Amino acid sequence: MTQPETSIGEPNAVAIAFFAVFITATLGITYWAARRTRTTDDFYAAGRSVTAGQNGLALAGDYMSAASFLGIAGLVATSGFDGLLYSTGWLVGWPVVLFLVAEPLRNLGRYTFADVVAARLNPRPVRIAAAVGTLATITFYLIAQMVGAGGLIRLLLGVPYEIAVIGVGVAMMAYVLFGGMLATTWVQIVKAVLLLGGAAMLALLVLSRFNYSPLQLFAAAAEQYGNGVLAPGKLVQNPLDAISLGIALMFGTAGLPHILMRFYTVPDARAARRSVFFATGLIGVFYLLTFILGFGAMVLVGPDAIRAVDAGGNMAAPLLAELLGGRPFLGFIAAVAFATILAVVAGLALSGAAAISHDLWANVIRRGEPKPGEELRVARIATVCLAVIAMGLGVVFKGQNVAFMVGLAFAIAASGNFPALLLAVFWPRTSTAGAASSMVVGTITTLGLIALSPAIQMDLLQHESAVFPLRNPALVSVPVSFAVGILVSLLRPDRDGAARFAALERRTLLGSEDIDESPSGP
Amino acid sequence: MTPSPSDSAALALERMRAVARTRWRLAGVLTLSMVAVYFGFLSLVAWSPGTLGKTLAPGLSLGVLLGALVIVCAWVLTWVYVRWANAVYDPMVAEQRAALRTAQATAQATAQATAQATAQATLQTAAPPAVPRTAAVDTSTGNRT
Repeated sequence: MTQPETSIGEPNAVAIAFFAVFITATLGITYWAARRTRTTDDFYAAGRSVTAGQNGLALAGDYMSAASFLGIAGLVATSGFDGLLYSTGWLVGWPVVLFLVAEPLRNLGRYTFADVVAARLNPRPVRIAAAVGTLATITFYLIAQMVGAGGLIRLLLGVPYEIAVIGVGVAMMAYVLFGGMLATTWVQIVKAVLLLGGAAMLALLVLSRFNYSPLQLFAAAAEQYGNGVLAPGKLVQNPLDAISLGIALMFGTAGLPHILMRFYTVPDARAARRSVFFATGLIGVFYLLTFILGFGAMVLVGPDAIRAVDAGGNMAAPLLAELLGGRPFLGFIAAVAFATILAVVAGLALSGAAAISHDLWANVIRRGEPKPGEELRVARIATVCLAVIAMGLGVVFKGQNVAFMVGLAFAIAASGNFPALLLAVFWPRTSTAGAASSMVVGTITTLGLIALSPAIQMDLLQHESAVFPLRNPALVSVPVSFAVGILVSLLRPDRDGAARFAALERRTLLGSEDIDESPSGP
Repeated sequence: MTPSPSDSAALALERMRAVARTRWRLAGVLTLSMVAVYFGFLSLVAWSPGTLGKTLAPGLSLGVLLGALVIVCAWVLTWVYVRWANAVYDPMVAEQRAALRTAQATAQATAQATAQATAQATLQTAAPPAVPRTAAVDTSTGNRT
């Protein structure tokens, strides 16, 4: 059974039909949203009109990328237990977001996480550094999604790679350019419902063959492939590598600009809190489902058959869908995977555009006083530029390992963005120089260590050994970023730092709206 | 002797800080719990993979069970936080917001009265009213007395 009977790689009428429905529906949403998107508040934050439940779904939609749906299912199908390491790592980032950043973020910022870091510091150096961290994170995440999209769509629909990349780029541009955050949010919601529904249906079909008992499914896997599939395997060779990856996954979520931006779409901190609660529930269910799908694919399709279609194992879930539900169900799952990618890239493009227009243009170049309407115009131009760059990079990086790129994005977010954000809201003595250098050093250390890591030195450049032994740099780069932030803050304090922190404390607690409405405000 | 308005504003601010500290303390404890659970699990994976391979029942290894429990732990911890925040934290914040508004209003009224009195007494250029007007918002109020 090395070469399975599959229609994967041929154009699939059902997939194309589902896909056409999805595109039509989301463009309809975009048209509706475009008429309600007039101000910067609308464009970046959907007019703060999104409810906690909607934002919970949208957060889950932003987070459940094709990499997790297809990648984890594939990883579990080909190596068993090891896939669980990624699922748990990606989920445990969410409680950290809830406890440490969600509420201060909503109360202190307007559109980007840099608003929060800059809230009590000198804005220009901090915003420049934050924009660098944001754009570095966004770029690697976008490349990963684009490369993944091109490859998947070629496999699923039989469309050439380059055409698929350009199609994704154009659709993403349309959502963000015309519909802003409102359209992006609803595209995420539609996608999250489709993805959770599709994964649940597939998991039910799998379990129906095992008396609806996951344990019988796991037992069948152990019987066929040995008890090893239920224990840590070859993925974890170096213990420190596992810990380092864990740090990146756990703290990276709290530094992902497109996730943090979603907290500004809800009316207040209470809604921000509830939305993370919903998101954590949904994402946890989703990862448990991918685990079932992975083992289902292992037992019913077989690891060799999966690798024969795609060496990376990414086709495990689609192959399983075809086996259990025939070509129509394969078409549905393929369309869901495509929708997933479209929604994630739209969210990424919007947060990248906000970093350029809100942080760099309005607050650094125009010093916080842009001309009326100018910021929105710059945001739209930035969206077009980002879409073109993303399409270009997608073509250039064709064939690169997608999981590696996503890991890199998480490592930059964990070491470039998260430490400065936490220090700014939590530690009274954080200074402008400290926060800015933490972000810059964190980002550069991450990129430098990646360049010296086995992934680049040995896998890519074919050297005998690597200078830096770990595949993920977070174990070193996150502590370095914190240490730099703390040391520089102590050495170069801000003059009126204490008074500014006291003002920030008040806003963290009561929210900015209290100050704006306050009768004695300026 | 009644406390001066700026004293009560400073007191309100101090209480507010106490509320903020309470939240950070709980947030810290819950974050550390999550870190302990996840890195405990990862440490077993990294240094004692054999332990996780133990089979508890047909199809159920210790590793799969603990992995699923990590996800359940994440749910429980977020639930604990949201429960606490809705039941305890939000009412505390609302109380502080109200207290601060009252203190602000009192401070403003007194400051205006003082300013008028000063202006009448000296008949010179009046004390700049903008300063006391914003005094209650300015967090340096506590140091003024």
